Amino acid sequence: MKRILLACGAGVCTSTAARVKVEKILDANGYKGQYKVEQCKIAEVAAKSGSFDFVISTTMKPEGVKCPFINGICFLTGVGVDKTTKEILDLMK
Amino acid sequence: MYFDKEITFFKESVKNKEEGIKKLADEFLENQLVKDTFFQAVIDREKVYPTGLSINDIGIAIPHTDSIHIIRPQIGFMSLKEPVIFKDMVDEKNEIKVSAIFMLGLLKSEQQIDILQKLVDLFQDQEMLKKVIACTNIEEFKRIMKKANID
Repeated sequence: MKRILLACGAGVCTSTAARVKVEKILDANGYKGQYKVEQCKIAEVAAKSGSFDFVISTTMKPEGVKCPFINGICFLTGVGVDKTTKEILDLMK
Repeated sequence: MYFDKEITFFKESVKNKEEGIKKLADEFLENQLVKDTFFQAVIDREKVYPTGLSINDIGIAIPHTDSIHIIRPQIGFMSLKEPVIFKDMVDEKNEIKVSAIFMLGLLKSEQQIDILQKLVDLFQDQEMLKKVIACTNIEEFKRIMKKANID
């Protein structure tokens, strides 16, 4: 079970929008039921990152992240989704 | 329901992003949608985690803050006569010339997922986004939002 942390500034808006897209991608690639997603504010990422397999955020990478970090801005802009999708799928292996 | 208070400004002239945010936040406060801590929280958050985004060469901003400042969910809209500078969400050293501000007063809940999804889909639809930015009155705006299934 992969633990994925979804983060954004307030932990409410853009991380929710990204989450919907990320979950769709994971389910479409056969990972349904094999992951757990949690959302948080970017300020909480450093402290939480030790317990997650990777972080996807719509903001810049903060200091002190202890796990792989993926920039998820493509889920808002629609640009670069393929590249980010590949990064995510690679980390799911 | 997210636009029921019709907090919209079309082709507004503002000196800077703070003025744009203030105009929207004041309307939110007057309509009792947010606590009086909302405006400062949005400004503070914008400094640390900017909300400017450039999509298909169109600059938009989605200022918002923690849901504890929100009483009732609402989305406010302001199109700008002249673009206003916001910092880039992904690179704060980068400046985005913003043509439209969508102020998000949303709560932390499952109900928001749908509206957020639709907003993101709208942002990614270049034609629709251009129409929204070009519109000059609330009726036109509501028509476009209805088409995007956002109401």
